[in-house]
Amino acid sequence: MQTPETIEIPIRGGISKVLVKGEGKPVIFLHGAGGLRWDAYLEELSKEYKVYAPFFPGVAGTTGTAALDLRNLWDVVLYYYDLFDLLGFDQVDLIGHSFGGMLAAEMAATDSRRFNNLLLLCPAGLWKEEIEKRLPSMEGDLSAKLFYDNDSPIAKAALAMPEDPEVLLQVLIESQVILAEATRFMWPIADKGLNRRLPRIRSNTMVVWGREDQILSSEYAYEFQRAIPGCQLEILEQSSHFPQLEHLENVVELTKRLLTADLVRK
Amino acid sequence: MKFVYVNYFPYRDLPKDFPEKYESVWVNIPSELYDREKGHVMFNEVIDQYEHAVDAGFDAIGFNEHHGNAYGLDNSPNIMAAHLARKVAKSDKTCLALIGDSLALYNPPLRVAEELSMLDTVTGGRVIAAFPAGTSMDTNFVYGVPPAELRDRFNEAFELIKQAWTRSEPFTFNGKYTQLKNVNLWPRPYQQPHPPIWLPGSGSIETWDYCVKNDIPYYFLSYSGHAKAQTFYDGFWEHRQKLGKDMNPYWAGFNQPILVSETDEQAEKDYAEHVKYFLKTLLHIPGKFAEAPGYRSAESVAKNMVSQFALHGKSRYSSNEFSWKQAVESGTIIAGSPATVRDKLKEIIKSFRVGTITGNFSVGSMPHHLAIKNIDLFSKEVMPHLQGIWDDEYPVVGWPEAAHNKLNKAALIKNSI
Repeated sequence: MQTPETIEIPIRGGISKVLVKGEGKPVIFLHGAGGLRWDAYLEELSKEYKVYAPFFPGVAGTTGTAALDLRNLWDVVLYYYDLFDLLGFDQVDLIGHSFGGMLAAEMAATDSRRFNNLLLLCPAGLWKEEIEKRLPSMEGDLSAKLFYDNDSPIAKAALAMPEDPEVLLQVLIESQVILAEATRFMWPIADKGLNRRLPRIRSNTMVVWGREDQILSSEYAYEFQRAIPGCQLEILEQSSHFPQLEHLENVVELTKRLLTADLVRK
Repeated sequence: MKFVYVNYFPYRDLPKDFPEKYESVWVNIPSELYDREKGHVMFNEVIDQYEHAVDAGFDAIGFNEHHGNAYGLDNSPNIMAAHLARKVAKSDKTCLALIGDSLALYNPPLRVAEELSMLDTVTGGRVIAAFPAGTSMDTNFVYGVPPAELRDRFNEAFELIKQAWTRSEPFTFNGKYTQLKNVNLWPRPYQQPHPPIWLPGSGSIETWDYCVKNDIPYYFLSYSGHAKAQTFYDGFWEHRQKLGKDMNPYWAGFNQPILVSETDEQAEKDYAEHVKYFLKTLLHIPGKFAEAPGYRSAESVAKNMVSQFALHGKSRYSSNEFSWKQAVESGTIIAGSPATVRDKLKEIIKSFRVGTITGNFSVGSMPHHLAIKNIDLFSKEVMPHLQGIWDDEYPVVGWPEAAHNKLNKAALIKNSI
């Protein structure tokens, strides 16, 4: 796996960083609260598309939300619009995972014309008491719940930590920063009114979820499908919060199917 | 040397097997474990204990703020202080130390400025305003403040309160979290320009650096024993010295459970099971509630994780197996005969260089009669021997005038309108 290129974008007096790899049609990937890693899913996508994966503000030496004065989700949405403009995208395809899925949904709900195709991988952003009673979101030791089978090579590779204490410290600091930053916009519950805005989405949208998601219940998949006009839904068995790694081939195929579909604006 | 009587106001009657059977004493503790009749008795006994402490001649009585827990039932330090305000006003010198008020939890935080002004007015200027950030359990998990915003919200609220107390004309406050068109505080604080402010904390460098730079007393909350506290105070005083600040011990305070009995052996007999309840049951807090993501800086958290003091699973509160000997030797508590407690306190007062001790005198499941005994023995056999420390060397700072000039029922009467 070749490492992607990191490009730095000056933005609002600060710096944003974006991992870029591949040729072809551009697609943007927004990472979750666990941070951005160039994983097998992004690698596979980069064989067919030019993948742009921005770091959330504050991570990997980028300017953080406090310095950028991003106080709420609306500020974050407009920040990303600025970033996409600087990258030269009037219209682009957008993929978001978990917290990144919530951001992607907010961006599309605010202005769908910017996004032709929208893929939401187990997105955060909805909260219902009856669902939470069955499976509370984001509680306790999350790292143990990310994968359906923690002993699988996929899980082990994804959860592996560096042994060198200096490197480990840096990795842990980064993971704490993104967790704290994402938490800032999802606390105390990840319901900031997205359900009211989802019906505004006009992009060609697909939601993909792991049936056994222990972080965000897959029952929310149906809520997203109900709220977003014409939304496609794929629920994958034997998968928790990383269906794109646990069912790599399948999710890559689904992604391609979505991204190559002819645009029919609803 | 000043002594503050503090009562954590614990729920004293959780089941013996609580730590094994339940996940946490905070946040999700089942409400069926709370007995309202017992609660009624405990509340009144605690107020009795505070009144007793005023009569016993403590320099101040202090109040905390906690939420959704059995560790400390005082949800509102200002309400508790209000019960004692008149008693305090009529005492020789005792002050009200509001150690609780977690500023980020008040909306608008102006409320804190108002309520402390009210208390200051009732007591004729005996309020100390100590503002903590608050625990993660209280502020993030129960009161819902986004952890990464907590300190920013605290700082803004602190600014608003200082302005409300000091600006003489009505003004507009345009903050990030609070916007008020007309800030116009009535009543004004009795003390001018405002009650002394302390900042309590558990050692986070941002807080005590701020205290040093702004000449605000810092007081250190720790259950980690004296060795760690010594390291902290060494750093604190070195920092003051470096900045060319004076070395007046009243710039620093220390928080300590203190337990006095007739002899060292009797202290163990009297208090061991209650200290155990405090350490094992009331501090039974899992990692998942001990610290929400963003409550502390990513770097501090990561450093702890690397040193195997992992956030997940273990908690920064939970302790190991209980042993009285270990609790005493490590300095988690100071306990024993009056002579033992005197000597130990004298030693740490000198070595930490602190002008104020906030003593936790009602620990764990301690019943009322023992709480009273502890107050009596401490105030008669220990406190008088230590109060003179620093007297000839340093002026008192960070305390209401009333604390050192013994104001005075006479003044209250003379000035009555």
